[in-house]
Amino acid sequence: MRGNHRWVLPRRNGRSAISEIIGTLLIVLATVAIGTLLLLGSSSSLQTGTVLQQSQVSLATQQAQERLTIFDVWFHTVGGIPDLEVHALNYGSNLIHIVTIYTNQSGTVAPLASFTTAYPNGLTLSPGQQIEILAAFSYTPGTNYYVKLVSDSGSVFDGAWSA
Amino acid sequence: MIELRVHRGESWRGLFPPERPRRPFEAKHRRRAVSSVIGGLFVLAIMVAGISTILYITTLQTGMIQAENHAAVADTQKNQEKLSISQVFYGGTQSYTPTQAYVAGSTCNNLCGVNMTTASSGRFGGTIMNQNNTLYHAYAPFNFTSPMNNPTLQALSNSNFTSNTNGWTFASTSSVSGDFSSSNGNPSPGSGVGSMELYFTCVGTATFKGNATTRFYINPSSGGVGPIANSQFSWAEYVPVLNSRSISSATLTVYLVDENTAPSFTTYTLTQLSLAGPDASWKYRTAISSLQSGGTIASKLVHTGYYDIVINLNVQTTSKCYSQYFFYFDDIGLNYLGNSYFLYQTDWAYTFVLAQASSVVTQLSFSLTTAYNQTSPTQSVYLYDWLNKKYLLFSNVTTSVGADVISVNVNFNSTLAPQNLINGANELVLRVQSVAYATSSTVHRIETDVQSSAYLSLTVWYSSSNAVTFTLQNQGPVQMEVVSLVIIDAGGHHYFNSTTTPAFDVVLYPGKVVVTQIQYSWVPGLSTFYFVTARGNVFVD
Repeated sequence: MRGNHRWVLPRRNGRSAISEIIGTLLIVLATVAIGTLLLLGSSSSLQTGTVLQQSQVSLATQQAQERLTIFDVWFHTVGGIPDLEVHALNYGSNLIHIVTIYTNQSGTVAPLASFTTAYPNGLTLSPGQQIEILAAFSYTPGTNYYVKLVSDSGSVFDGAWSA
Repeated sequence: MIELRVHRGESWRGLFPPERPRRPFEAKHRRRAVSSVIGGLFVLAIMVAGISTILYITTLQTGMIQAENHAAVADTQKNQEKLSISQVFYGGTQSYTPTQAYVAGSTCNNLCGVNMTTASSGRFGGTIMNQNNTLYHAYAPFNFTSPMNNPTLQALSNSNFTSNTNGWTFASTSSVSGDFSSSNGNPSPGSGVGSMELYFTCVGTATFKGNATTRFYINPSSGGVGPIANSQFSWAEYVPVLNSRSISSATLTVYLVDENTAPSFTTYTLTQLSLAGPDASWKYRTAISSLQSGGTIASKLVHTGYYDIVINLNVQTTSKCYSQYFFYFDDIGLNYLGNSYFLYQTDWAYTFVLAQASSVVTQLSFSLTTAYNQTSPTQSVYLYDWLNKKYLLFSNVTTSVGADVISVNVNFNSTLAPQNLINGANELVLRVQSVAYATSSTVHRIETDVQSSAYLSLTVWYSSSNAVTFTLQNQGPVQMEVVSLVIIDAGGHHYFNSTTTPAFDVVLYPGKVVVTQIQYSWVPGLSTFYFVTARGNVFVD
């Protein structure tokens, strides 16, 4: 029996029990807090990465599917105003939204302001659709002009045409 | 023993009362366990989120790769497109097809099929339509009225003996100044006015003699057509200018010469008559079966070999003669009846009335589908030459039982102008003659079965300043659609597609050839044509 008494632990008082509970709660709370922070942080990071990846993949997919051919460019005067008339065909499977036309009208390749004026919202071509783009353009007959159509996905469709 | 049980911890509940306080290390372990579970859950959640994200991104990438693959396939097909552009000319084409066709047994109206049978009267049917009678008198010998059960009438290859190598030859046998035209010799059957022309220039009182001769081969043996049972001679003459004051006599004599009796060359007079003239129209003399010199023609056709028909013209002129005299002969033919064979023949014509005048027609193209129920009939396709008043042979083929398609392209040149084939009323006559032989008389017929308008068509190519025509051929392995045409000329750029007027949209299967016409006012000068396909290719001509 003496041996048994040596082994019997002294009964804890009330403070000791409370501390044990508080300690347990603190540890649990700390674990929850840290875990929550980690989860939120990683979730946010993953979400950001996913959105970024989604955007990049969507853009790349759009670019991969955009097909447009400029089959004729006609420099002529309409109503006394020299114009640039571009004929293009969307032969891809996606909508193409043309937002800018670049030309070397001024000597360097730059956006054509008259296009933005004539088409402030750009131009949208459905798959299989042919389109005629008419914009004021001062040209010198016999001169070769660079015409570049840019879509909102960043695709570029270009060529050189003689006025 | 007790210590051992305690240390092993196997019997706590049995050794101590329930209210015994727990050991400190036991509570600590419980807190750690709870935290570990919670932490593990968080880690698990993070892992799930991460893996889900990876899976989602992988799905996005897969979609992109699929889109790229799809685009790559489209690009490959685009690169495979190959378009041939040819025969671009300013003008157009127009197709004509009969509005009514005839099948044997129904009413014949313009375009006729002919169903010929061995009727008890022995009369072969023929079809005469839409043409003057001169065209068909070559076949007058077929119109027997007496019963002919067997044998039936059989012709040489045609009534003008064009099958021999020489055709008609002409010769002058007098010293009278003049000449003989052989330009229309060797004429086609039923060739009408001018098929054979003899003329001379009168210089006063003299005798003019001229011969026109042809040669034919006949085999009346059992290995050939068999003994000749009957033979008939027919011909027509037309002497537009003749005056008794200027010509005291004009005698025409037709001879049959048997070359197999050389060197004597036994000669029989088929017929002889005085040309009274002037004639207002053709005079036909048909179904002459007896020789003027006695006997029948058939009785003289007994040798296997060559015979000749000689037309001799003998004219006595006076001092008051005119400058030139013309003598025309046509439809000279000798038909005969064999014992071994039966002849079946169809002959029909169709007159196209064109919207285009001959002055703008540049090319003609016929497509004719016929069907015969006789073995190996010989089919000849003729177009009528209005200027020379004769039929021109454009196709001569041996067809088969069942449908055969004959294509005839007529390209005009220095010797054949559109005016030859198209008259002032824009009429063009197509004639089809078919001949077949059979060795028995039971249920034989030759039938030109033109079942629908699709069986006969004419395409006229004409020049015009208001149209452009070109031929497109898909020479690639993939189907293509030409969706846009741009014509660039001195007048500017002209755009045609499915939304314009006129519309332009051509679908071409691999190998397909399409002749396309666009109404477009032509501007003199250089023109460029852009053909844009649905896959984005631009072909330039």
